[in-house]
Amino acid sequence: MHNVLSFSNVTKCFSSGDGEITAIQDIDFELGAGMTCALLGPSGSGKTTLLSLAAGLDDPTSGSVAFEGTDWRRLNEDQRAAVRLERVGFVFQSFQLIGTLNAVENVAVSMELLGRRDALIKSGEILARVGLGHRLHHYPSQLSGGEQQRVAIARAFANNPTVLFADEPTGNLDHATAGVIIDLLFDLNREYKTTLFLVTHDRDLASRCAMTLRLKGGKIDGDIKSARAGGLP
Amino acid sequence: MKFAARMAWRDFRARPSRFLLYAAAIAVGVGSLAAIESFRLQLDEAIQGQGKNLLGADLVLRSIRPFNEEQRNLVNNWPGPRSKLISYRTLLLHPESGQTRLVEVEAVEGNFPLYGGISTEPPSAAVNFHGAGELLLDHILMLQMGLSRGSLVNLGGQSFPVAGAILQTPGEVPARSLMAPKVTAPLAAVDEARLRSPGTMARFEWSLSATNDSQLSRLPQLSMEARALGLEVETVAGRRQQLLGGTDRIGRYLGLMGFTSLVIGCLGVAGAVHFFISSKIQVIAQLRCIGAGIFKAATIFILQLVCLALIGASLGVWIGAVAASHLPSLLAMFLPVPIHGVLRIDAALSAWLVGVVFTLLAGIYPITRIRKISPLISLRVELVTRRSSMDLPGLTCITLIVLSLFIYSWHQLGTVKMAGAYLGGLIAVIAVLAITGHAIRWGCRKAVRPGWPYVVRMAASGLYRPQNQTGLLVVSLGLGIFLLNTVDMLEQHLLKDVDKTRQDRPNLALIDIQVDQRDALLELFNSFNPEKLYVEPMITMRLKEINAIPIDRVDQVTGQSRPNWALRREYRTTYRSEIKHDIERIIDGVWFDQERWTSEFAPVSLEKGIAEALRVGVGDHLQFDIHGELFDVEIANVREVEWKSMQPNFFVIFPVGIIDDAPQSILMFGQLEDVNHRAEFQREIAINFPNVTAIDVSLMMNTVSRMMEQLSAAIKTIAWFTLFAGFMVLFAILKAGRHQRLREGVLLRTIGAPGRFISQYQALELLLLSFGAAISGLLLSTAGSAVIVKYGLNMPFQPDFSSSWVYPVALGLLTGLVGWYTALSSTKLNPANAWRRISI
Repeated sequence: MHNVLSFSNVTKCFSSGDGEITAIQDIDFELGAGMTCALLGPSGSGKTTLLSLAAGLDDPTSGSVAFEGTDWRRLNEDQRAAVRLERVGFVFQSFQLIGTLNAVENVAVSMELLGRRDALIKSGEILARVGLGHRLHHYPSQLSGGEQQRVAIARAFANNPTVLFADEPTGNLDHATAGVIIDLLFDLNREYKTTLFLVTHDRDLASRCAMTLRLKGGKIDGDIKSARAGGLP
Repeated sequence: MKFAARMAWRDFRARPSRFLLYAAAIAVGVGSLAAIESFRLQLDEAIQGQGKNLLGADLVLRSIRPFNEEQRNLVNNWPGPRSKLISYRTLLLHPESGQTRLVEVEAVEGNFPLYGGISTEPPSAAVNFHGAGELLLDHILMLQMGLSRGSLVNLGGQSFPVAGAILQTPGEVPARSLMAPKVTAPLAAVDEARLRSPGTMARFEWSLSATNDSQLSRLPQLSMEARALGLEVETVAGRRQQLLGGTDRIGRYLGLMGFTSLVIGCLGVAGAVHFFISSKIQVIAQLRCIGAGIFKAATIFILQLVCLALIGASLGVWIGAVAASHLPSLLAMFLPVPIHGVLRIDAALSAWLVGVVFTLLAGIYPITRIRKISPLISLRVELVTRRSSMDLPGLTCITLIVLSLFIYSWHQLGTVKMAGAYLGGLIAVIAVLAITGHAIRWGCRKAVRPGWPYVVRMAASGLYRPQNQTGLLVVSLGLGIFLLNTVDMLEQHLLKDVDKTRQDRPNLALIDIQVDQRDALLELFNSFNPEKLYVEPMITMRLKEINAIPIDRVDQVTGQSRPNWALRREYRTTYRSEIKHDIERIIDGVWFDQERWTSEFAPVSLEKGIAEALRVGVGDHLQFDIHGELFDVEIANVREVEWKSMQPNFFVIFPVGIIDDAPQSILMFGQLEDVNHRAEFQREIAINFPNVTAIDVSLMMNTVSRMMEQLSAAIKTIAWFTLFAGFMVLFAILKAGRHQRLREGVLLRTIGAPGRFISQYQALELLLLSFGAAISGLLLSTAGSAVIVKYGLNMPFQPDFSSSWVYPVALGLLTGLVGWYTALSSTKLNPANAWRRISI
């Protein structure tokens, strides 16, 4: 099993009016293909920063972040975008759907960007898979929170990504809906054999992951817990 | 209030640049209004300030014939100062260079003008030219012909030295001298006897002035008597009215264009306030939830609106000051008195007030919506999307806006009808553009096919972005294009009409030819091998009666009104036996048929237009006075004449054998295509036939074209203000929707879209929008121009779209560039930083 993600002694600092703030410090870990990993920690502990670095959205101040063996810093913005387009999926806490596109069009975005002719048909199929076959032409404003997140998940899986990054995917949902979304995430993860990297506050959700990283004050708190290293939940 | 002010300040602080862009849109409108209003007021004041100098007398009596005995007696009995003037057109020859030029000669007595004076260079020339028997020449003519003081020129066969240049004559529009530059000559030095001969086209004038109250009080009586004797009478008030009327009309129309740019700015403000309130619904609901009253919530927005109005209008005054300094030079050719480009305080104040009032009116309507924002929205977000119907305060607001627009237009245009037409037109154009905006969005959604490039589909879907305000943008940009293209199309038609008169038609007109000069001139003309040559006799006459009713009473007796120009003009008529089929067509009656003519009256042919003006037709009787002899005639037919043929055309034509012996002159119209031939021919005329006037029609048409282009440039300058206002609205809307675009761009970037794709689709989205706005503006202006050309100018509408493409292309490129530039921020930023920025 090869590593999909490798953090090597990564530190990220931000400058602010009062001086420099260290968001994360000396982070070292590796994530194998097909693994599920939960990133836990209180607010301000650096979870989103770590996720940004993992997805190549930002550069570390020191250390290196490699995606499938390639250091993100060796790629320019467009090259990184191309990698994300083909290999990475995203699910956000606040869904982040494009308001001017309907559900099927939102899901098709990444396939359209790859120039796939069957983008709309394929998105329809994925939406049906997430239980929204009857909502294909609804706009985000016409969908409930849970439905919007299901569209976002469908979009994330549309290109069959190697890794799926999810930033508090259930943070804006009620308990019952959150359960449905989590099940869906893990089901699709199994189906598509995707590596899952979740940022969450939810301990139940974290417990379903094979690996748990706990951040505190920008550092990994304690040991990296691996329930069944390399295995699927 | 303190709370509202603090909240308003915080809102402003968060987005000052957007606020300033809307202020700029208002400022552009107020600026153009202030400049135009200032120009009008200055011109009014300058004309009023000239007083009697405008006419150079208290009263001017005028005739196109030498004064008869009765008329001379009237002048001779006037106890006050008087001065005589004879004006006529002739050729000026510069023997040294061989150049000729048609000029308008004013042969004057020593004390002309009785008031004011002619401004000359050197100043002493205005007084000395009489004694020295010299000429004063228009300063532009001197420059064109390379003449200087002391140069010798030939006028009517006589040689004169040039005394100096005429710089300005109060009350005369400089554009007039472009057609035939003015030459002032001492009356004693010209051949007055020749000018008095029949058929000579000269104007005879007596200027009278009053030196005391008793003489002043006699002027009205004198005017009446002069009119009764068939003289044309002009007073200082009449001249002032005529000048004010002409310039005021230009000013009013320019003013309305300036106002239209303010309307665009106001539409932008209304859209901005509407959008701003929409984006603040949650905040307002929360404020209401925690106990803020409707008034308190509304005050936050009202305060911002007031600040926007005050700042925008004040900025506009500065723009007005700059525009005011340039406007007079743009219209200098059409100004009877020189004016300085300074912004007047009263004009600035009135434009400022109009700007503030209309901005407040535009913004208040969306603020009335605050009343309907329920505190419940803070708990139930879905209530936000509920649309509310218009209620009484909203309806009152709309009524107030329309009423204010109407009152302002009425004030500008002077009549309810014109104001109604302007407002109706404006509302119709705005409505059509707004509908077009919706149609563009709808059409894009419907027309776009899944097989089309993704960048195009994304651009089309972007038009649906809530903050895009597609409708408002189409209105703002489309209105500017509409105005610019309408001015273009009207100019195009007028110029085309002028051009038509130049193509394959006579371009030289010889007038004032005496009968005994006919053969010699014909020989000279033929020696130049003209492409075309037309020769016709011309006899002048006046109308005395219509169906045996004197023209003074005909309106009263028949109960129908006829224009004065038709009743009292000097008719220049001809006689011939053949109709000219190429330019004339009988529309009623039959051409002269002496054998079948049974009436005791002589038959005449009348032109359609004059027949309509006189309200006569076939079978009606007219009486003409030909140099004292009365001729009773019956209308045998009515003709339609193609006046643009540039052949000798006449309102009235007699058959051969009736007026052949009357005093007459000859007209010769010919075509000499070679410009050097024309110049040489005119030189020959000036040397060998000094009494004959040769008019180079091509030269005059070029001058007319130049004048039209100059006027069109002045109007377009103001029309550009409307487009600038539209652009300010565009920038402000882009600024308002920036957050949404940035969010969309960053999201696409995060999921892997190349930066090029994001720039392309956002640029294409704006390109589609501006292209749609420009096309709708063009289509509307084509429809509007068609109506004006067909019914206002009585011309066939033949649009030429060869230059119209410039507007959609230029506007599309410019807005596309703006879209591409705004998209750059989402592609250049590091995505993680961008997400942070969005979430702030």
